Parts: sequence; structure tokens; C-alpha cells
Amino acid sequence: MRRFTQRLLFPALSAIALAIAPTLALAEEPASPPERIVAMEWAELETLLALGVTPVGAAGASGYRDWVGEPALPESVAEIGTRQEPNLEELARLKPDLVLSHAHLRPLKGNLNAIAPVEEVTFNGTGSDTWEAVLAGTRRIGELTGKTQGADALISSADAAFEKDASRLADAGLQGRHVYFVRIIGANALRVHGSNAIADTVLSRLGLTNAWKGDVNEWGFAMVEPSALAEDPEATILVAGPVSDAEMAAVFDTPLGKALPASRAGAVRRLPVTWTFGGVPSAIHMAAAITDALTGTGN
Amino acid sequence: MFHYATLPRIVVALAAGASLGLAGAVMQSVLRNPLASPITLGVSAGAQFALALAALAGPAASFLPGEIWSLFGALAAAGLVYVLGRRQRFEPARLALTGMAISLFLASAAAALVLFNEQRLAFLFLWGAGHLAQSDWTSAILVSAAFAASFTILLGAGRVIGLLAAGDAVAGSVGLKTDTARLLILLVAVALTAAVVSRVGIIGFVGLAVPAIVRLCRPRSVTHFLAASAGLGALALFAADALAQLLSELGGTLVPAGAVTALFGAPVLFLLLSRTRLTGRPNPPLRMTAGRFRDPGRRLTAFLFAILVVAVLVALLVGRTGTGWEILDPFGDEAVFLTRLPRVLGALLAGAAVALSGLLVQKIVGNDLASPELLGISGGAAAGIVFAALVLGVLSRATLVVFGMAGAIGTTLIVLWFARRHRDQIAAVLLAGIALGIFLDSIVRIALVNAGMQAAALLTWMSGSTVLVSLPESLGLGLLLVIAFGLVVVCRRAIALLDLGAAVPRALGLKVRATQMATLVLAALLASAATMVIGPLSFVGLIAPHLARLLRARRFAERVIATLLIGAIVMTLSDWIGRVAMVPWQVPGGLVAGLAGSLGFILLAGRERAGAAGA
Repeated sequence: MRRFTQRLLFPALSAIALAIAPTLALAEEPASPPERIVAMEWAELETLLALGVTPVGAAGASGYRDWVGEPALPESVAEIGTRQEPNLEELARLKPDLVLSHAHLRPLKGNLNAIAPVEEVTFNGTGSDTWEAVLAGTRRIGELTGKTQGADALISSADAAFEKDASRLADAGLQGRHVYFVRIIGANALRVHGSNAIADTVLSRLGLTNAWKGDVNEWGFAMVEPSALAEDPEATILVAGPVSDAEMAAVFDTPLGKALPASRAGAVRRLPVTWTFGGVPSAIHMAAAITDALTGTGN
Repeated sequence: MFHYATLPRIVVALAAGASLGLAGAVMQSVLRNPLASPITLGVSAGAQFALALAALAGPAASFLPGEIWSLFGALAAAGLVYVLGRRQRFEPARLALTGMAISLFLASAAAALVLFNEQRLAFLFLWGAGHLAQSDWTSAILVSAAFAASFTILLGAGRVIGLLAAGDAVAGSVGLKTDTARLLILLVAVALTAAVVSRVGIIGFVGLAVPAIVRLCRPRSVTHFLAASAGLGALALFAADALAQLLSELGGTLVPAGAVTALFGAPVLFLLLSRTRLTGRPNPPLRMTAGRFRDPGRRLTAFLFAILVVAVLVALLVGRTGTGWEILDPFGDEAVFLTRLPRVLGALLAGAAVALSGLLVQKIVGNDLASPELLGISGGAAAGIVFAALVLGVLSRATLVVFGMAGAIGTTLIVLWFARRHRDQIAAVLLAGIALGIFLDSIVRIALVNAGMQAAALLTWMSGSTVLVSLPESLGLGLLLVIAFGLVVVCRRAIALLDLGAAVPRALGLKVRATQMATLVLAALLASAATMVIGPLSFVGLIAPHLARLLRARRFAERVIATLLIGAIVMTLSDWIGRVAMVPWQVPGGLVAGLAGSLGFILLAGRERAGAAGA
């Protein structure tokens, strides 16, 4: 019965609490770090894993293995449905003591809150400074899991990795090189990452120049047709993985694709699995993948 | 760049536009149906679904190109519409509705595929919106060749088309095998559409509206009609694509041409409709006697109520985990029970609400084929939500509900207001609903094409997942339903007389306009509230009143109760199936109901005609 009242009153009370004192939530520090965490987003999941915390469940766990890959996801982590519609019953059965949600799932917050305490940590897609949000989110997850030092170490390891890769590129004489960072959506549509994308931050930290100067959405990309990649004749095109041979051929093996300056210069590179809306681990991984592709040391 | 991108794009726009205009004109001529078009005959949806399946099957389907698969899909869907339509003697409104039902069924199925493969099928958003960008001459040559061949054949068969357009009696009297001729000519039109759809995606509207506009200019002969439709179609799509490219440049977003045709074409069609009188068939004559029947009365109510209780118990207590089925102990496992309760309650109440709304809408429009789902309400709710997402960015559940409700209520009122003015012309009303739906859908598509991860989440919420429902919301919906039910029961005599037209009720001393208006607002409110819980495509509003009639609930009060109970049963079970079918993944309950409901409607549509023919 108590749960019923809780369930009824909670949305109203939490709405009031959120309206009155948004800062209160940030002030509290857990007495002992939670042990049964569930992540609703891949960026949170990879951050947890990088901090050495294994969650009990994650939304889109099988998709994570295809689209993010690193750090590897242990088999013990339960799949709780898609990231858009997590399975609340499976979630409740896991008896979590912390649910890591995010702003894009805000309409679900009340229902998640009825199962376990919810923390919103949003890495991507709010339109604010993305890299700042990634750093803040990483530190916040560090706080919540009692791994504050781990989070700081993870962030400094990113700085170190960027520097190392930047010097590798500089040694190869590639500093300042123009790059389009794209993901293939269809034969005539690409997502090209521009300002305020994680890819943009990584490119600039590597001493490279993002060739896409156009407008982008709040996720930091724009949908464009392949012909848009002809604007900067100097640029290399990097295609984020996973991408199949057929998809590559559909864009770059057409008369138009072959006529692109990058194709003619042989400067279209395929990256291994690279998650473009991730956290610090994905950014480190992305920097290494870009460096390998440009210096020709990777595949 | 010009030679491989710009030039073929112009050719594709012209050829595709001409093809769709021609195909639409032919379909409308030989079916004698102003509502016929590639979209309303299910051709486009069939092609889209087949393409999605082929993309998912990957290497297994790669022995044939995607274009062939989409051709198969288009032919299969059109064939089904044709077979069902023939049983109803191609009655215009019914044919269009059958086509739309099949379209919605396939669209639900495609939506389900996208939900689980959001990354791999992201291209479908764009393809479904008709994106004309080209990177070589393949499409241009293919579509032009298909157009040239079909145009020659169809102009050659101009006389036959003219005879079919004059009616089967005339055509038969000069010795034409009408069935064979119609089938062959439709086959050409469908194949042409499939060729276009497979290359450039779904271009709403051209095939529906261009022939309608041409017909307003009263072409002298069928040949003129076909040629003018092709010409105007080419111009329309060319202009739309030019505009789309301009908008893409200006807005920094990718705007597909298909969405633009709908964006500008649908309001034009809507305006035309409100100014002209379509020659539609009059209402079926009133039956003077209801026949003899045994009133099932209380027994039916008790029977349905018992089923509902069983359904609720199953939905609440039977669950499935990754390891297997389980019976839940509601007191032992409170947490799980408490996540289930609001969903079951929400589905039950929303199902009942949308069913009641469907019954009221059918009374207002005076036609048992109308339903809130087919009258643009889906587009309204979705457009409201997408608008909120674009303007506000991060959404709370409250804003989601407010904007979705506002959008749904707004569109329902527009269409129902239109319906009230054209109540003897169900075809015009449906066309208006479809036009508004296509218009709003094109806005949603432009937004989804350019959105990031939210697109998939929005799609989940719009396809009727009960995951967001909270207990207070269920209680609010329950309250609305109780009030609405009370009002309907109190005013049952007035509402029951609504579909008799204005004269009879007025003679009985009823304030017809006031009753119509009040019923209309009530129906819109119920449907909109339910849409926020079970999504716009559940089909329950159409199917539940039908089933109630099939179970012989004759008196209005009993029919209301039976409809409510059936709606609740269907939705409760659909939501349960959605939750357990693919554990741990969840299928939105509204999508399950939509699949079952549209299938049920297709079956009912065939069956009902057979019954009526016997009577």
C-alpha cells in the first residue's frame, strides 16, 4: 500500500521539487556507492565500464556490441530492451539501486523513479557545448559511483592520448589536414559531423581541420547529399564504422562518388567501429582510429 | 558534378512526376474513383515494407536488387487491395479505405522493423519521404524508360480506359471484358508506380491530387486527361524538388521533395475539396425495418465483461522474463507489479476511450467506415509532439502530453468540422482526412530525417507505447471516460438519431447542430487523450464499433457498452502481447493493435459485402 501512495504522489512531488530546487539534487553525495547500476545510454555504459564499474543491466546491450564495441561489454550485463523503450519489468527485476538516464528520456523519468533512484547524465544532443557535457557527465558518473579519481584519470588519459596521436600525425606531416567525418545513411544521404560534434573536438585536438563548415543540428551533424563533400577539394573523407562494402560502394563507387575530389585523390578512408555520440572512451578510440587511417597504419 | 548529380536529378523529377500523375489518372479512371492513387491503393506502402525487409535480410536477399523486392511488395499490396475491392464492386470510399487499411498495416509493420533496427534502417526515413538526389544516370534512365513504355501502352489503350471510365454497363454493352481489361491496365499503372517508388521513394500526393486538379479543368477526353495529368505531375514534382533544394540550402537541413509535394499539395487539395462537390455515392438507403432479432442484451454485456476480466488478469499476472513464462505474485513482487499496473490500466481505458470516440464519429459522419484513426488525428498528435521537440528540445512527459493532445484535438476538429458540412459525401471527408494526414506526416518526416537519436524515441512514443503512462494519468483518463460515458448515456437518444440526417431528428424536436457540435468535441477529446496513451494507429476506434454490431448489439445503450468493452479487451490484450512477445524487447501495444486491427478490418471489409449482397 505504501508503494501505491508513493507511486501516486511521487510524480507530483518530484515535479514540485524539480521546479523549486534544481540544485538540491546535485548537492547530495551517496553515502556508499551504488552497486546495482543500470545504464540507459551507450555513452553512460562505456563510461561505467571504463571506470571499472560493471552495471547489472543496460538498454540496447546487444546494439552496444555492434556500434560502440570498446570497452567490451561483459556477458553478465542484462539486456533490458531498446534505448528508446526499455523493458521496465526486467529493470525492476534487476532491483537496481541507481538508474542512469538522460534528458532525452525525461518523459519516462517518473516511471523509472518509481523503480529506483534516477540520475540524468546527458552527454549528447542538447545543443550545449558537447565536449564540456561529456567531461561533466564523466565526472558526474565518477561522483555517483565513488570513482572521482578514476573519472579524472580517464579524462587526463584522453588528453594524453590526443597529444600522442597529434604528434604521430605531425610526424607524418599531416598537421592541419582537412577532413570530412561522415556516417553513411543511404546511397544519397550522409551525416557529416561539424561544429560541436565530438568528432569535431577530436579532429581539432589532433591538429586536423574539420572541412565541414556548414550548419549542424543539436547533435552536431548535418544530413547532406554526397555532392556536398566536393566543396573542399583538399579534404580526406573518413567514414565511421561499422560500414559494409555495399554501403561504401553505393556512395563512392557511383559516377558521382568517383568524381568527388577525395575519391580521385584516393583519400576516402574507412574507420573501424567508431561511436560518434559516446563519451571519453569513444573519443579516445576515435582519435586512434583517425590517426591510424590517415597515417595508413590501421586497416 | 553537374552531369552526374544535377542533370539526372532534373530528369528523375520530371519523369517520376509524370509517371505518378499518369498512374494516378489511370487508376482513378478505370476504378471510377476520385480517391484512387498509388498511396491510397497501398502500392507505396507495399514497396516500402518489402524494401525494409530486404535491407534487414541483407545478404540473404541480395541475389535480387532492392528495386525488384520493392516491386514485389508493391504488386502484392496492390493485388490484395484489388481482390478485396472487387468483392466490394470497387465502391470508391470502401476501396480507398481498404487501401488505406493495408497501407497502415504495412506502415505499422515497417515501423516495428525500424524500432528494432533504428541504425540500419535510418535510410528509410529519407526514402519514405521521397529524396531525389542522384549520383548517376541509372534512376533517370530507368524511370524515363518505364514512363515512356507505360505512356505508350496506356495512350494506345485510351479507348478502353475511356470505356471503363464510362462504367461497366457501357463497357460491357460494347463487348469489352471489363474485368480483364481493368486488371491489365491497373497492372501497367502499378508496375509504373513501383518502378518510381523503388528508385526515389514515396512521393505522397502527386498521384492523388494532380488528376483531381486536372479533372476540375474538365479535360475533353481520356487521352487529354492522361496526358495532362502526366504533364502537370512532371511540373509539380520538378517545382517541388527545386523548392526542396532551395529549402535545404536555406535551412541547413535536408528537405526531401516528396515531403514538399505533400506540404504544399495537401492544403491545395483541401481547399479544392471544400469548394467543390465530388460526385460521390449517396448514403446507403435507410432500412425501414430492423428485421427480427433476439436482443442479446445483458447476456452480451456479461459475456464481454467476463472476457475483459480474464484479459486484465492475464495482462497483470502473466509475464515473461528472459528465461521463460512466470505467474506474478502481486504482493511478493510489488516492484514489477507496480510497473505493470499503470500500463494495463492505461491500455484498457485508452482502448475503451478510442472505441467510444469511433462510435461517436461514425454517428456524426453517418458512415460506419469513418474512425478517428483515418481522419488525420494520427498526423495531428505526431506533428504536435515533433513541433514541441523542435521548439523546446528536451521534453517532459507533461509537455509531450499537452502538445500531442493539442495537435490531435486541432486536426480532429478541422476534419470533423469538414465532415459535418459534407456529411453525405464520405469520399470527400476521407480525402480531406487523408490530405491532412499526408500534410502533417510530411512535416514529421522532414523533422525525423534531420533529427538525431530522438527520432527513434519520438517514433516509439508516437507508435503507441504504454511505457510512459503513469498511474495518475490513467486515473485522469478514467475520469474523462466516465464523464464521457455518462454524457453519452444521458444523451443517448439524441446521439442515436444523429446518423438519420437533419430532417428526422429536427422533426422530433432535437437541436441537431448543438448535438452534433457537442458530440464532435467529445469524440475529439476522447480520441486525443487515448492517442497519447496508445498512439494514433491502433485501429480500435474503427474495429470496436464494427465488432459490437457484429455481435448484434442493437440498442444504442447496449452498443455503447459493448463497444467500450471490446475496445478495452482488444487494447489490453494487444499491450500484453507487445510486452511479452519479444522479451526483453518491447513492441508498442498500439502497434500490435494496429496490426491486428487493420488485419481485422481487411477481413471485415470483405465479409460484410458478402453479407449485404445476400440480404
